[in-house]
This record gives sequence, C-alpha cells and structure tokens, in this order.
Amino acid sequence: MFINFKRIIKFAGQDFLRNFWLSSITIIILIMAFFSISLLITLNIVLKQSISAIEKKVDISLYLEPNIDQEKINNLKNQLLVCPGIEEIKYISAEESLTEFRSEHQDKPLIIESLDELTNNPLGATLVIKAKSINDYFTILNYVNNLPEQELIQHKDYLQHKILIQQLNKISYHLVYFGLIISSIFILISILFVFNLIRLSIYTRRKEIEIMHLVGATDWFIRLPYLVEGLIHITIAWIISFLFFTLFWQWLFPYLNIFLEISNDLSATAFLQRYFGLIFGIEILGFFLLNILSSGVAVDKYLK
Amino acid sequence: MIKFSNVSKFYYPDNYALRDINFRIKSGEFVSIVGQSGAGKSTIIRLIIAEEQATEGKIVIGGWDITNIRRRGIPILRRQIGVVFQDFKLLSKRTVFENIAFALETTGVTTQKIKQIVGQVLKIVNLKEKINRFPDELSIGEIQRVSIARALVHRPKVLIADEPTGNLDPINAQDIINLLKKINEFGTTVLLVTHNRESVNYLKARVITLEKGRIISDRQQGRYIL
Ligand SMILES: Nc1ncnc2c1ncn2[C@@H]1O[C@H](COP(=O)(O)OP(=O)(O)OP(=O)(O)O)[C@@H](O)[C@H]1O
Ligand SMILES: [Mg+2]
Repeated sequence: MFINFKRIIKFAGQDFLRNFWLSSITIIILIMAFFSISLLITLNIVLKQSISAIEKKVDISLYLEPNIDQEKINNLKNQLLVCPGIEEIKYISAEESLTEFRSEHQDKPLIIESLDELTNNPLGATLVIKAKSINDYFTILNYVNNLPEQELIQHKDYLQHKILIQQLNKISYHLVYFGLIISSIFILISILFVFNLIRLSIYTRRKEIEIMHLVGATDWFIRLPYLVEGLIHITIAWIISFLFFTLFWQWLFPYLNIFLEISNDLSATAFLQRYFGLIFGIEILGFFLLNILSSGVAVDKYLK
Repeated sequence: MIKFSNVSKFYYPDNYALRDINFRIKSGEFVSIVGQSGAGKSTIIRLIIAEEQATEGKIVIGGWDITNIRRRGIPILRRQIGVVFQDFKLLSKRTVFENIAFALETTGVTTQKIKQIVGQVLKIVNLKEKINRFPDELSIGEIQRVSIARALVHRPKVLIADEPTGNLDPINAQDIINLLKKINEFGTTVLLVTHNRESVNYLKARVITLEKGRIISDRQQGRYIL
C-alpha cells in the first residue's frame, strides 16, 4: 500500500517534469484564472462594503428649535416611527448637542467665549434618522417634508447628502448586480477553460493511460497520478497567484481608497487577511474539486 | 489453459470479426494463429485480455470464466497474460528499463525486486546493454524484444505475441521465433499470431487458420496453408 502511494507520487512528479511545457502552460493559465477570480471577488467585496458603509453614513438630521416641550418632541418622533423606511431614530438632547458643540470647537476660543456669555442653551435637540436602505431616503425625506409640525424643525440637514444619495441610489443597484453577473460569467468561463485544460493535458497522454491499463494497472493506480499532478499544478499556481495578487493589491489599494474614501479603514494587508478564506480558500478548494472531476472524467474516457 | 466455446464478436454496425470460434489450448502448448489481414486474429487477443467483450459464447482462461469479467478482475487477468502487441505499445518518453519496470510498478513489487526482474527479462531477450535507451533509439527488432521482455515480467503462464515478426528481415524474424520457442520450452504457453509463412512452417507446431472470422483449419504440426 505504502509502496503504491510512493509510486503514485513519483509518477505524478515524473509526469510533471517530463511534460514540462504542458505543465508550465497549465500553471500559467491557472495563475491567470486564479488572479482574475481573486480580483473579481475582491472588487465585489470592496464594492459591497463601500455601499453599505455609505448607507450607514448617510442619515437625515432634524435640528429642532430650542426650548420645545419634550412632549412635542416625543410626538414628532412617534410620527416619524410610523414611516416605513426608517430603521432607527436617535435622539440627541439639547444639552448633549451643546456638549458636543463645545468639544468640537474647543480650539476656537472666540466661539467658546461667546457661548460662555450666553445664559441659556442656544441649541435645540436633534433627531438623527437612519434609513433601512439607501432606497428609502427619498420616501423619508418626502414624509418629513410633509409633516404638519414643520414649525418645530429649525433646519434639516440632508441637502449636503442629496446628490450623493441620488447618485448612489442610481449606481449601487446596477453596480452590484452588474458586477455579480460579469463576475459569474467570467468565473464560469475560467472554470470551463480550466476543466478543459485538465482534460486536454490528459488527452495528450491517452496512449500512456491505455498502455498502463493493458499491462495490468488498476484503475486507481492510473487515475491517481494524474489527479496528484493536477493538484500540484493547482497548488503551485495558487501560491504564485496569491503572491502576485498581494503585491498587486498593495499597489491598487490606495487608489481604491481614494476612490471609495468612505468605505473602510482597513489596510490593504488587513483586508486580505480578513477575507483570505473567502477569496483564496474557496478558490483553491473549488479548483481542487474541479480537478478531481475533470481528471476523473478524462482518464476514465481512456480506460475501456 | 485457454478455451473458446462458440465465441462470436460483432462490431457495430455490420462486421462479424469472429464467428462461432471453438478451440482449446493446453498448458505448455505453442500455437500459431494465421490468417489474412482482417481475419480476426487480433480480435482473439483482445478477447483473451478482456480489452473487448465477446458478443456470444464463453471464454475460459486457466479455469476462470472471463466472459462477463468484472472491472476489478481485469488487471488481475492481465497480469497473468503477457502480451506483445502488434503496435508494441511502448511509452516513447520512458527508457527501456522504465518501460519494463512500469508493468511491475503498478503491482506493488519492491524497487529492489523490480531491478532484479528487469535484469532477468532483458537477459532473456538479450538486450541488457540497451537498458537506458529510449524506444526511438532502438531498431524495430530491438523494440520487439523490449516488448517481449515487458510481456514476461509477471512470469505469465501465457505469452501472446501479435505479429512479432511483422516488420523484420528474415534473420531478425528467425531470432524472435527462436526466442519464443525458448520461452515456450521453459513451460510458458505461447500463442503466436503471424503472417509469416517461413516461421510457421519452421515451428512445426499447432496452427489455427482463420478466414473471415471463422476457423478453417486447426492442425497439430500444421503448415501455412493460405
Ligand atoms: N474497434 C473495431 N470496430 C469495428 N470493427 C473492428 C474493430 N476492430 C477490428 N474490427 C474489424 O474486425 C475485423 C478483424 O480485425 P482484427 O484486428 O482482428 O484483424 P487481424 O486479423 O488482426 O488483421 P491484421 O493481420 O491486419 O492485424 C476487421 O474486419 C476489422 O475491421
Ligand atoms: Mg492484427
């Protein structure tokens, strides 16, 4: 048993070296497939993340007039809660607003001084509205604008987001689905390509398989070296593509970060670390399975 | 040793390669099978090593009915029968040693033992000095002998040679025939498929003659009658 195992590994290694060109080409193609799949998966993750990060950041603040009864505020809040698209409403009391304002302007003595001169709080409470999804913002804005209690609201802070929301609303949906579709198509193509590549490399050695079979090798003794050889190709390609990708990613990441500034504050390396399993783990597992499938199918074709 | 009972082999759509074949080869016999091209000679070999399945009839090898042999049995059967194929079936990317060793490596024999056996069979076919050559670096006669050497590694009870003198000049052909005779004298049953009139007549052994898939003659001490 052990001697068979050793020989299977030996045959796989020999095949690998004797068919050096075929092996190299196989590995290069595998590297490209791995690399593109990694890139696609990664970009999808970044895209999704930035969208949800933006969604989290974009909220609507209602700055209320100072000195309103708490009851009126609660009433307003309750009315808002009825609006379907709202995820939560944060209430910031007038005092909290003031504290925050002070700490924000600590280094501007002029402002602090003038605040100190005032006897009462010039600020009112604030209601910060978070939407369930980016698509709900316009519904919410509409709702807010049509509330009867407009006189309670000093001003609404959403204008600065308005363009961003509009744009995101437009792109995010398309971007995510378009990205997914393109990636799926591309991944499917690479899978088919690799599947056939493995079959081709076995096809070129069909005579060998036939002979092994005729001189009395068992089916598994014939299949396993090809399987192992495929695993060697995949592992090598995977390692190389991983190294390349890491370098490429270090280079690309700053650009992505400028572009999607709002996204997250992970570093390039931390990002890859966090998603290692999702990107590279699934990839290699998938290709291992693919190899088992395609080399099995291909070899069996020549085992009459 | 080998028994064919009413064996037919039909190739789709309309080709009877063998029709109602009956013969029985005893252990230690030397039998020549002759017949024109397409008569069905190689088909008989393919049936014996279960490369093909008979359409009708029954085939028994060494008491083992292989008519409906299961997949798992095929390697076991093939290790008991040495075959010299009409087209040699050597691996061009492996040396003489590796080509022969290969047939043993598939079975779990130790490396030590493999070296020993390969040495022995190469001595039988008298090719020891070409052990590290590749098939392209050998003459046809030498390739034939490598092929015979490989067929011998499992110490088979039956050796089948399909046209081993096919492309050889008379002297080389004679060498091969003598080699087969020698192997037969050690007790191995030999089945020789050939076109070669001189060889058959020289052997003075049993001859089965095939024509269009049927046996037209089966004689002890036969002659080439086509
Ligand atoms: N795989 C196949 N499919 C269909 N017909 C086949 C197949 N193999 C062989 N035949 C046919 O079976 C018949 C016998 O073939 P076989 O190879 O046994 O001939 P042979 O006697 O060995 O001839 P040769 O002396 O030329 O080697 C031929 O007519 C051939 O065309
Ligand atoms: Mg033939």
